[in-house]
Amino acid sequence: MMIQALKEVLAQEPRFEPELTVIGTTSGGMSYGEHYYRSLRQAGDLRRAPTWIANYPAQKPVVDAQVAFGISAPCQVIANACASGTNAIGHAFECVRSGRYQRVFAGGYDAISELVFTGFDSLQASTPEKCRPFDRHRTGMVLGEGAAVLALENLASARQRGAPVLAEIIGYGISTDNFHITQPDPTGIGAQQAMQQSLESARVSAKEVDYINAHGTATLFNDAAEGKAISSLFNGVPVSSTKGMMGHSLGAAGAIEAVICLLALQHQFLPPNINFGALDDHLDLNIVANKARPAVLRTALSNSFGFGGTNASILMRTFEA
Amino acid sequence: MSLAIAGMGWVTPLGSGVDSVWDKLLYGHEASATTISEQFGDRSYSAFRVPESVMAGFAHPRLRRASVISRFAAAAGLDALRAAGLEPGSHNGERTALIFAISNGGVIYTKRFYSNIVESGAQSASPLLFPETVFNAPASHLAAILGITGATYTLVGDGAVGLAAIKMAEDLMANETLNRCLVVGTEEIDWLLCDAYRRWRLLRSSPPIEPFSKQQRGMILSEGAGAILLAREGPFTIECAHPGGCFSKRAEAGDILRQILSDLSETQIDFVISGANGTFVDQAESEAIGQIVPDALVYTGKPALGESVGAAAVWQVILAAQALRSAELPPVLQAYPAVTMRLSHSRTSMPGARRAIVLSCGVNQQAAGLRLAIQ
Repeated sequence: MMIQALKEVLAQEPRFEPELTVIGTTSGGMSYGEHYYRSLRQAGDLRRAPTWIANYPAQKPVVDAQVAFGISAPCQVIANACASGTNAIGHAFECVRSGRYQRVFAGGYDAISELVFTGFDSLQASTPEKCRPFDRHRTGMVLGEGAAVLALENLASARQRGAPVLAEIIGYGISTDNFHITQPDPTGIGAQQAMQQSLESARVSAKEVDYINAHGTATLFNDAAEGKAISSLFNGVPVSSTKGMMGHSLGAAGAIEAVICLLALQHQFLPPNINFGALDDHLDLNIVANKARPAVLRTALSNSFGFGGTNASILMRTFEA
Repeated sequence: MSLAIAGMGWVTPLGSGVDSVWDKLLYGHEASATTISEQFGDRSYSAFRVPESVMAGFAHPRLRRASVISRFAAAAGLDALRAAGLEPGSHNGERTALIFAISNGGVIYTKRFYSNIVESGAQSASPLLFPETVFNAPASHLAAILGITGATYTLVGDGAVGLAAIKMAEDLMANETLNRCLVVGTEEIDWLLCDAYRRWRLLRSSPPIEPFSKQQRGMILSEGAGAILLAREGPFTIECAHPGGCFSKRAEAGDILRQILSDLSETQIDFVISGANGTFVDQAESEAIGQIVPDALVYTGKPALGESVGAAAVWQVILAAQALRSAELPPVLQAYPAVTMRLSHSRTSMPGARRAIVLSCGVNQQAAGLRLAIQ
């Protein structure tokens, strides 16, 4: 998945030479670890064990993808649970904005593994039903998998190369709420701080945000806390979680959803929050229910929150030459 | 931009406390190996474990169900903070960032969680264990203990990940609103890790680690944590954190190491803290050091402390700082006699030593370095 994502971004920008690659993941090569452990435990065939072991480390898919395209840039692999992808893009953005780097690849990847699937099931966070973010009858998340990579570049450098600019990243917020290792602070303070920071970082007001791509996992705890946080900062901004369509791809989610925001800005539409019946009675949100609709968008916010109380938000804006 | 080290904390198989561990290294102590077995495994392995006595009495409500990796990290992190004259809650939690460097994460609880699934099916999966299998669990515990509410990152990588974390800290501290950044490297040992590294042909069955040996007999794993508190001012300056790069084949590691050393040795270098651990890393590092900084003294602490992977590079930085502070290097234990480098074969005095390079080549395709100076 990492190779495919990198291939696609390099097909659009073949001359992009990163000085740094920042990628988020939650479970790395866990499925390789599972093969190894099962074979050990059940006295199975271990002839492929060295391959499984070599592919287990979380940085391996990133290094392999770089090697496949002749890139040797240093890698920072961020494992901040489900916020990893947004953290990777946010940190890469800060690296470029500070002037310390000109070009950075940023994104996320994750593949479904038995351990992770069973883990979320053991927490009763996942559902065998449809994923219904922010719905009053939501029953939990559905896992997904995938990868996405963005090429971030200093504007002057991109202009000098004549590179097409798809959108701007203008703000990043990160917070740690320390409430519980698997549950967000129910007041939504952690999410609120991350969103507020991203606004301050971008020097824009909440009124200027035209769309919010919510973390919206459809778990009772996340959607309640995130919904409170959104309504405390924003008044009637269209909100959707796209996880009903693609599932929750954990460390990849923030990167995939950043691409969704980018497409929404490019094509001027609001992505839908599918499987939506009626809003949770305790929430006050303007949900983009079930169908995409055209809209005039200039600024979009994307949220990702994870275990350990880690919260991340990025702000993106249409590029005006 | 340069960064300073304002405090350090160390939990190792030779005990805890920076000065205490350093004294043992100066006197040539080597950690005691423990034999690790597994019910379903047909082999036993040797590893350098943190003695139980080191962590006895260290308790925090947040850690009552946490794995030892989180306890090591918390102990080292608190020591680093206190060495800088700070206490949890006495610093601004929004203006202190936390970066964790890990490699294998909470492998003990991960194995236990998955073992239940393999043995008894998905119904037996424990909701208490699962959160501790997530890579950022140790970081979240330490953030809660220290009251850090701003940026917390967990970086995953090989033995060089600690230096990647320091590079990331340097990038974060470019933001003037941050006062400090605590970088913690940590690792815990399990039989499963030993078995995996053995099958990968990187582990030897029992000590010693023989650095720079032509035979490359392999490493002995160890555990613990190292923490360094980075600030704007302090007795040691990280003059340059080199991001290094990724290599596709072991044979290519030397190219990146030479580039790192070349970039870091623009000024006079007194010594190099190597990551040599008895594997292919040794040859790559010794050739690069021999070509680029042939006059520098070289030390590796891994024969004494073991290969602690996620914690290793942070330990190397602590070694460099202590060597600069005391102006001497401990003896490299079990060194191959015919090595041609200026190895610190015995306790070596270095009057006036001011700059060191920390060089780290991981076993899984990552390499990085940094240059440290004493004020």
